[in-house]
Amino acid sequence: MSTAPPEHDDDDALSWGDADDATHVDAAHNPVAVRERAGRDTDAPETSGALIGFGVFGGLSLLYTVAWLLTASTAYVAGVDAVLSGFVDVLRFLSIVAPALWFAVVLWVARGRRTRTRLLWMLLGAVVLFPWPFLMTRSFG
Amino acid sequence: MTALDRDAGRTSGSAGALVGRVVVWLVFALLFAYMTVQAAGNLVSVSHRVDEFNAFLGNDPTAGSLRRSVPWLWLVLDIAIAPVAFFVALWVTRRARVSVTLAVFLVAFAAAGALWLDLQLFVPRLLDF
Repeated sequence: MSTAPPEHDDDDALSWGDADDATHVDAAHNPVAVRERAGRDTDAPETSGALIGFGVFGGLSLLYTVAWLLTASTAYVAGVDAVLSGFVDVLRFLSIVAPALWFAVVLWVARGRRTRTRLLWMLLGAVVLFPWPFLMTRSFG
Repeated sequence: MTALDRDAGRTSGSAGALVGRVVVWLVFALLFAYMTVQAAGNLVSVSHRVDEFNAFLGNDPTAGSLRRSVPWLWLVLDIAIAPVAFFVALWVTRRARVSVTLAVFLVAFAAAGALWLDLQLFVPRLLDF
């Protein structure tokens, strides 16, 4: 007497099992697998620390703007063609508005991000946009 | 409105947004490229002027303290500013809306411009001739 071999579906080898199986773990509902980085609720009020940090960087951006404004008449290039001269004038204007623009854009674009991330971007702006021409063209003391 | 119409509208809207972002990328790529070309020209002209100045001094041993060296670090940094700013802005806005892309690129260009102006003032002071 011969018995027929059990039929195997080749696709079974590619399956992790039935969802009704007690041992089945669905990755979509696995709390470890789907843990997301905690975002910030954009409607939630800012913390005191965040407000102080934003106030410091906001004030710094205003000081930078004044410093860049005071050096607006600095001659950066001499004896150049009209295109480069116009380009430098555009950069001259942008460097004056850059500190406030950076501050506002970080607040707007990164509003859903953590406070630490926003403060780090503002710190980067404070470093990059430091008004060196103001220090270089003036003597103190 | 059918689901098909909604899908078509979403597709044309996303296509329009993509076109808008590409336009922003291209315009700022040109501006950053111009800044890079000027910085490269600056490197060539400054190194040439330093060579000429040192040649003018000749081999006079008493003029040794007057000799100048090319400030390669600052000149190369001058060239690197614009590409670095462009690619950082591109990375930040890789999934952003058109308005955010425009704002971030404007800030990146303004920041790169401020650094570029810093160096335009700083490098001649290093040479002082």
